Amino acid sequence: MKNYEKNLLPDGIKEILPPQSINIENLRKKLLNLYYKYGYNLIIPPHIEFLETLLNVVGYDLELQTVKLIDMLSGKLIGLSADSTPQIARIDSNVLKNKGPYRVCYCTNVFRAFLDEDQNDLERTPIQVGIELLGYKGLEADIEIIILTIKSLIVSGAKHINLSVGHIGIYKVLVKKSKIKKKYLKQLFEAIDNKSYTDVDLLIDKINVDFKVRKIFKLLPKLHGDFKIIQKAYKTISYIKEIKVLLDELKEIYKLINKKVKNISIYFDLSDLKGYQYHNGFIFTAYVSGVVKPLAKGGRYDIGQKYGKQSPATGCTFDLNLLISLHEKQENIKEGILAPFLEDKKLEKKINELRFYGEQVIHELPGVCTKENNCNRKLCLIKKEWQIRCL
Amino acid sequence: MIEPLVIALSKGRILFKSLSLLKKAGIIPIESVENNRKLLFNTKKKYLNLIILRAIDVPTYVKLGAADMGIVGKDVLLENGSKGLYEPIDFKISKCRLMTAGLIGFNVKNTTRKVATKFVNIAKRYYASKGIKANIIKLYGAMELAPIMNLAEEIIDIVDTGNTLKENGMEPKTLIKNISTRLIVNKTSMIIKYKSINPLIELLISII
Repeated sequence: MKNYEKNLLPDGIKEILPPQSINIENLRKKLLNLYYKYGYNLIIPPHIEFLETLLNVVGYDLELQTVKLIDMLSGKLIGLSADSTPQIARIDSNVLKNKGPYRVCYCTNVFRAFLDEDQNDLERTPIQVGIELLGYKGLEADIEIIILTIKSLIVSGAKHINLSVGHIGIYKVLVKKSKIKKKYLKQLFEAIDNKSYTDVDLLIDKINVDFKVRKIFKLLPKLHGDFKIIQKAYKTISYIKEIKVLLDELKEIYKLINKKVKNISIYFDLSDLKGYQYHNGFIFTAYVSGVVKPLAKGGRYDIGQKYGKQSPATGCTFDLNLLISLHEKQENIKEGILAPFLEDKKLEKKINELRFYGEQVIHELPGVCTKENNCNRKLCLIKKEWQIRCL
Repeated sequence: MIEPLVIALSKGRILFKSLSLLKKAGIIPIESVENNRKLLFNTKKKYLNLIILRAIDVPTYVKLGAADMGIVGKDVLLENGSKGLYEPIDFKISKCRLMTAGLIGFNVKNTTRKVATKFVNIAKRYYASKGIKANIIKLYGAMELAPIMNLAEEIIDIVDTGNTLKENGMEPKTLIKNISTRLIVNKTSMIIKYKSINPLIELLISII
């Protein structure tokens, strides 16, 4: 290995350096504090689990994304967690064995096997922050999660938030009714997910589905936009009862969000099928202008079911490294106090006092002109008293 | 207020057709695009700018949000993946076929073969789906030469009229996919700038 190569890091791995590191830590504290006030219990899920435990309930995408190793102690395969939500669901149903609703938050590093270019990923070790409300089916839980998501974004520095909402249930109802063969399903899913109007048209014509459903499939990719879209959807696709119920749900959520928060644009996207594969109902994604990637992703899922316990849940996750990009860039703020290195009881007392009140006091090391310190003030002995003077 | 939009166009044979299509929608560059070395053009619609890129870079610009929309061939999307993008419109211009081709009268029957192409990912997927073990050789141009010079037994390329193939003693064999030109849209732009993007999409659909 050449000398300079010793400083290189693997693709997608980065060091977080000052002042960014302290900004991230401050934001982490603020968010966890916010969640605490709403009664969310902090869980620190393990980074490593046996592979079979970790992959028990997740889809193929997440399986590929999981970094795998061999555990020397047990001889079994272990994996680094690539997403905390399934872990939280496992802990809730198998370890805590909660019966009623339970609120959970977490902030932890997750690890990805590769950079997902389709997701514009730039790093493989995001710091995942999340909130989950487990064990409750009603809309109230979804609303609480959305409100908290919006508050989290505002705390991070977002000014105007664009929230895109959708419902995976619509697609599921259609697939169930149309009885489409499995071999076409993947193609259809991709075409709808890409909003490829023409491809959906061609495919639906090719595979001969029931007239009633055919019309909706063709319309679905075009149903995205502001509130008018829901009205349009009522006119055009609500003749299937199950779909009308889901539209009612979306409308209700829209009304409730609008009542509770201002300065937010809500976008309806009825053909949104993104997110991880475990979502099964109402879903949402939050965007802020100037940031290309979505800042928050969430929605309804039921992973607990696969652990033998019905557990309707809803939640949302963020990447702390991405949230911090909303943080207003400030010039290096200097706010420390420089103190001489002396054996002096009065000085020591003064320093302790200042630190008690939250000031940063840095000892001057003898013989070095310190550049690294970010001090704007200095402790000086004036009239036998230690006093603060500006530098 | 209408937010500014950037549309990325592909250089080459589809540029002229895309421009005339945009012209019908009232999107006309202020300066002439032909014989111009500039790559960024303002249009008569003030909020709309055009950039002109190599086709293969168009999805990258749109995916990473440097451009909001793009016009590009489906072949490029198939090769580079279109997962992070919306592709609402098929313009049905610059139609052609993505095909395998080989020397006239010579059919490879082995389940292993050497294939020369610039569409490496498409080739991998295609042969895997046929259960054929293909050694894929990446070339950047003049694919037709590869079978003649014994570099490969088969090629995968875009076939328009088939004349280049014929002149080199080759013929198209199997159709992989019909190709045409698509409109692609960045997913985040679609949501944040829907007030300008959605009407534009509808306008473009109406003039195809």
